[in-house]
Amino acid sequence: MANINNISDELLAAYLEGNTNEAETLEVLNALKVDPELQETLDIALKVEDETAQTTDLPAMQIAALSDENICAVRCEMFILHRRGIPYDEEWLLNTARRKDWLKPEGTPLYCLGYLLAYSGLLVNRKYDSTIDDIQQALAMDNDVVVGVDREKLYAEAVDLEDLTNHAVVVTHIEKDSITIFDPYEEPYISNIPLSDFLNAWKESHHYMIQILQSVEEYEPHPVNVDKIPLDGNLEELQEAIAENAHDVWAEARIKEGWTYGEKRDDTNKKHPDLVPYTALPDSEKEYDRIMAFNTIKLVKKLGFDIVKRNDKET
Amino acid sequence: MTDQEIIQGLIARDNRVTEEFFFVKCRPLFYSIMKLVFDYEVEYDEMINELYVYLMEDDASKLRDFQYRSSVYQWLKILAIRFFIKKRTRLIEDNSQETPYDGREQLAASEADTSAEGDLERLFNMMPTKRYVYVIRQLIIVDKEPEQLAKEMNITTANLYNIKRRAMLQLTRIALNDIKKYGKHK
Repeated sequence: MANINNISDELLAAYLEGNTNEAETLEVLNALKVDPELQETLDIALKVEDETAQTTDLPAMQIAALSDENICAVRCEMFILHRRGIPYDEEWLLNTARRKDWLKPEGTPLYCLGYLLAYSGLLVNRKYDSTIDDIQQALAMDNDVVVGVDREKLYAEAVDLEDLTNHAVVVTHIEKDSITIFDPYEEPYISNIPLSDFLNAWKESHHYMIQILQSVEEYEPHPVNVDKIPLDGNLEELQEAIAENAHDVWAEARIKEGWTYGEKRDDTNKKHPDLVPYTALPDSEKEYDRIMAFNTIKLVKKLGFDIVKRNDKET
Repeated sequence: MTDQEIIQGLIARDNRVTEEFFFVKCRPLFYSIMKLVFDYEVEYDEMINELYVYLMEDDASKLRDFQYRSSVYQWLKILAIRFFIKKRTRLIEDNSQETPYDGREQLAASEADTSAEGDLERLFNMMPTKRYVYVIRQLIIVDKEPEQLAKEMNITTANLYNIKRRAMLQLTRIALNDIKKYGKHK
């Protein structure tokens, strides 16, 4: 598209991807000073990038599981089992994680962190967008805490060439300006690092932590924040279908258990007022199912999956 | 789909490519752009259709002229931003007459500032991530081959491209903030 400085769309796109030479880069930067439309164009391009960053897939620990040298998540979980005096077999844990596809060739999704602990009978609660206070509270309750981090940012001497979540560590203690971690790949394994370095490393995982509870009473739900995940029109159509189906699944299971319709809920006689077709549900109940469906669709997107409608002829 | 397949598919009006890439994959991108460009409700689908018509006009000359200097997605992002900005301008004007951008007095960038190289150094100094500055210097100023630089930095070329992209975003952000702060635009 023509513009007052003749910076073509392709030149501008090439500039943003760093594919321009020095003269072209200067041409764009110089034009930027005098062309308000170009300023707005780039301003919007940056905002779109920011939005994309907020709605991109939750980070994965990309180097994990490529070989036995890259199993930090499993080693953190072994550390916790050891701390809790729960016997384990390293080889069995590794094989289990691989067999269940929690350790993938391309990396371990953060949401798989802690699956081995849960599989071993521990109560695992996970949370994005956590704070240092959340970790402190968890430690105060003698919970174990594992976090996803950019490993190179933990250590001042390390060369950090890429911003990503590539490591898991166990947090064992917090002081005012420092934090103690178990790092399965950094001898002496348990070390004290500046809090600022830790925060810098932790932010790459969207402040992800898993908390291993001592009892169910400590459970506090922390659904993933999907507020900023946009839904296309065709996915909004799905919401109602999922909500209705979820109701039918629930109702079918109840009926199989011997429940029948009743005006009031009666657990002794297995009566439930919601054992009616979805369309006959009160709006408050429908809304509950819709919110569940809405958040489920958004979570699927946030976890990095696409939902694509097939062509009608294929359905 | 590769970028080449996308471009060729769009030019050939291949239904599958057009639907999957333009109308499905790029749809959230177009929505985001429209929300930022227009501060009022617009008919999103209608706008996207208009954008498609614009992309395909003159026997898809824009697509045919594309030289793969960036990803198709990045190019389409810029194209869409500019299209919607111009569309907004046209809508604001009472008549549907196209804004005469092309007929405007050309503001020669070279007249705006003759010390662009010095400015670039100043922007580099303002960038907080020095490895980004290093990557821009090596790739754009020194014109080093990406493969060679990646080897020197002991990273993969794919990682280097990612760093380069982030570096250019940071440079642009700094440049825009600088203009806003000091009101350099005339």
